[in-house]
Amino acid sequence: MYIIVIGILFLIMIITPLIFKNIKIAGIVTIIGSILILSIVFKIITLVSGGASLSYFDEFFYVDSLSIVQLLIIASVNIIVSIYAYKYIRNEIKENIISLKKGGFYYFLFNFFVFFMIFIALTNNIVAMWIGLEGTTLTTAFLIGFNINKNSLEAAWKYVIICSIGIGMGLIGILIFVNAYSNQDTNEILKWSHLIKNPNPQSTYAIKIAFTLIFVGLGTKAGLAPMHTWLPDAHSEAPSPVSAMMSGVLLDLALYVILRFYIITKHIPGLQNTKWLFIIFGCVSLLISSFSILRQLNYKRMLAFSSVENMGIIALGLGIGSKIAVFGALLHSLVHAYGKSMLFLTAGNILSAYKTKRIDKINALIKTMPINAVFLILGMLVITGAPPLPAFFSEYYIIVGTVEAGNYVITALYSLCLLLVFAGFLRVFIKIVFNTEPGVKYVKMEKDNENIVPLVLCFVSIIIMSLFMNGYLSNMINNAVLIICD
Amino acid sequence: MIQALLTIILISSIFISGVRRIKLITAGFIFQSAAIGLIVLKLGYETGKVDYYILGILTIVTKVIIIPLIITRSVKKLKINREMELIVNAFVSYIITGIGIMIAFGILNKSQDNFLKTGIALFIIGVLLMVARKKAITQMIGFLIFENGIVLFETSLSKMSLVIEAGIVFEGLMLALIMGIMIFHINKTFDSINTDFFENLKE
Repeated sequence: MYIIVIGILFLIMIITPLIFKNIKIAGIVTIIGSILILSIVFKIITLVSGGASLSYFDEFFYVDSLSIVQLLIIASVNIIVSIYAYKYIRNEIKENIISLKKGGFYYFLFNFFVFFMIFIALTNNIVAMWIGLEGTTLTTAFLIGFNINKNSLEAAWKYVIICSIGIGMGLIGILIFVNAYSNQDTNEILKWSHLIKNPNPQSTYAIKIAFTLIFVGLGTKAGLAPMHTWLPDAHSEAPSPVSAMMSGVLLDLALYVILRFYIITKHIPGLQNTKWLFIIFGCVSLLISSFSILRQLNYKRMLAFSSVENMGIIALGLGIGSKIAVFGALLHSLVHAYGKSMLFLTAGNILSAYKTKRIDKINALIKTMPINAVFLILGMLVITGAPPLPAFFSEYYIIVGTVEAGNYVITALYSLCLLLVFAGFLRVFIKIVFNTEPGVKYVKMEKDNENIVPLVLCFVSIIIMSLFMNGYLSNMINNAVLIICD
Repeated sequence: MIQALLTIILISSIFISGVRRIKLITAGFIFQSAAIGLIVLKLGYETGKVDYYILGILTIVTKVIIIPLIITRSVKKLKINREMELIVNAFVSYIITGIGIMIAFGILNKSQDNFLKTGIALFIIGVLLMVARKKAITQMIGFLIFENGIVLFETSLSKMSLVIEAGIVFEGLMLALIMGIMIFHINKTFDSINTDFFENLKE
């Protein structure tokens, strides 16, 4: 029932920009549709709140506490981004950067992109999860190369080539994975909910190879280093709403698909070592990204590297595997979604006012764009984990997890990387916001007030998260943790 | 018969890995895809399953007719006919291809499944083309060869439902189309489809 309603809503949202030439209608329909989808997601959340699970259409769709976390992230960030895009696209059309037709094309692709993400979070079929991920690659390829120019085309081509190899490898892994269960009922083996109950394969060796292929292949899409090379280019060249969506939601979703396979793999005796894939790739991501952040000249690239870092944190937390660390990782994926979208959207506002992505060209933001400057600083505090905000707790839980597990080397490495990132962010953002050059008079820009509502929404959701941390939210995440850890 | 078709697939992939003319590469690709389509149809004839027929027809329609048409049309428009400087030259490419095939057939020498071995060989050759060639079109053909390997792999390993299999093949086709459109735009903005010109985005 709910699934059909969601499907119809997406159909309307996808078709509208193709029928109506008016860009306003497409924008409003997208906003209304995303609000309705969030309300349906809330309804589903109340249905599964006790740790129960729902299934629809002969178990093709399956919702449990783990997918709820993802659904919540997708649906809520989707609203924020569509509100932002409403003004953003109209502005771009007004300034003749894109044509009216391309504006409609944006909404078409964007709604398709969100559709595939919701599909991944809802589906129970492990190959359908792959189809959804491939679908996000198809739609975002054009969205990255949206402002057809040299930089964006280069980024899009890199993205398509690297991610198609990665996702192809993931498919090979999934095929081997399914084949290892070929002694079981063929109608059932593609269902995750069936595999989790009967995790014993014909050969554990095949599962080992398959999971490694899946991890490396889909890890390309999740932006784990050293497969992250497409990410800084793609996220810095895409239009800001798309970068916000990709960085906040899509990376995390790719990790979620890997996690689904990991949960099955964990139940097979003799394969406990697969957790080291998460730990090692997480640590490498942390190291590479934290040192890269220190030497960036482009603020959107810097934010993109910060996404690699956050994916590293989440992967590390999942790899440690004790309840507190997994709780931290899931909480961090929620915080990261809101915080990173807020930063990317603010960066989009700055970009549309200054027309440059270079850090050294922007000074004294507090005088020229005071509101955006405040949100930039707030976003930085959220993403680097300053104490009263939830990211502090999530990162702290993961530290506790590493200490409890006795991996002191990893604890040290992790804390060092967090410090480096904090230092790198402070250096750049203090320079952007407060640095004034003598003899220059700074005037407040008109563009400052333009697109503030989505930023406020992001921050409000983070505040709500911190307030409800001990009640409803922690219950929800705890149920998800039980699925992973049991 | 299936053995002969598998041989055609391997020979065409060895052929593709060394030649420079894009026309010849496309011709090799057409032969390969036709062979794969026929194999899948043959399997369908033997087992009597509808899945195989549809997969085979999809493969033949998209990879023997539609995609080569797109490639030849864009080659005409772009006025390119050969790959000038190779990152890995033809001789070394042949050797790498040979080693790849040896690895694929060597590791799995206990297995009787020739589809699996050929599929793995195709993965290696496809990735080689994507990495070692500069023209965007050749990289795209490399991806398609990789995709062919996936089709072989799929037929040999698991029996999935029809919708899922069609979804996988369909998305491969869509990705190839998107690459084609992108190549068109790249040619317009860069006045070339050499990926050498991709050097704006560096740290």
